[in-house]
Amino acid sequence: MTKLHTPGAQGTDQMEFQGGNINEDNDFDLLLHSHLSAYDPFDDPDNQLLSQPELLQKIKAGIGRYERRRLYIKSAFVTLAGGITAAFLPWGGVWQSLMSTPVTISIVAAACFISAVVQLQMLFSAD
Amino acid sequence: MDLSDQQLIRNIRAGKAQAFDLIIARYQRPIRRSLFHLTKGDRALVDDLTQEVFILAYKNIAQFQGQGKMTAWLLKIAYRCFLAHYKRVKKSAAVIDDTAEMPDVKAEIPKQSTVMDVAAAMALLPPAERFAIDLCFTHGYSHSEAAKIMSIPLGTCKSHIGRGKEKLKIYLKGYHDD
Repeated sequence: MTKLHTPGAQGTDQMEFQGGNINEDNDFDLLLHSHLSAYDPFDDPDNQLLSQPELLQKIKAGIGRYERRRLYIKSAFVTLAGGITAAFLPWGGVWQSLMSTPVTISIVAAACFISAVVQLQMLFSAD
Repeated sequence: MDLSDQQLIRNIRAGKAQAFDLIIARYQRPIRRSLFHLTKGDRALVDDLTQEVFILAYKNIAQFQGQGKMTAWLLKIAYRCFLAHYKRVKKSAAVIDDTAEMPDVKAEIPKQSTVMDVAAAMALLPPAERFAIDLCFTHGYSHSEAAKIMSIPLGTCKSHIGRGKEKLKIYLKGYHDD
């Protein structure tokens, strides 16, 4: 159901019309409403707009790029966090044995940082 | 099964991206129609901006509270995308100038059907007036709803509609008197 409100500075003098509100005395309002709501640029046989499937494909491609970027960001942050953890928080158990030497810690941390940088580069170079 | 917008949004938030296809199918027509008026029928720009609108909607779907109409939310994004585009091409100052001199109606309005006359006359209005009239007369929004969509004060919205209507009367009179 279309609800049409009367334009104009007063804007309150309205009455019911086809289930909506319109100023009965204002023929121009009626003309505008009927013509504008009837107008459909997609009925024009010469229009060059993308078809719905084409549009859908392009939007999905855009969303795909957005999702990939999000993934790169998440991945880069997780890797970066791993690097920081390896560098500063050598835990007990397996970690303690792996991180027994400063050299090992440095190698793991450096690998994580490099990986994070590579992922961030992929993020910015993604089209 | 005809899912409601709320159900579709829940599905999108749950990671079912294909639910967004239904949102696009459901709302692309009103969005493209408004963008068609806003861009004065620049079809390539309509397609570009429509893509931008839906991609932005997908990114910000969490911000849609579901209290208002989905169309209103998408139209708001569409108007922002349109304005951003014109700012990018540094035309916004000239295009949004409401005090711009009225063009020669008889020279610019093509002689087609009456429906096309109104649409062509709409193209002669500044974007803010064009969009405000489109919201109220094509989509049937109230002044306050249109003001919210355009993110402008209610008084400004009413002024846009009033001025736009006066110009349209002049444009259409000029054409029909010919």
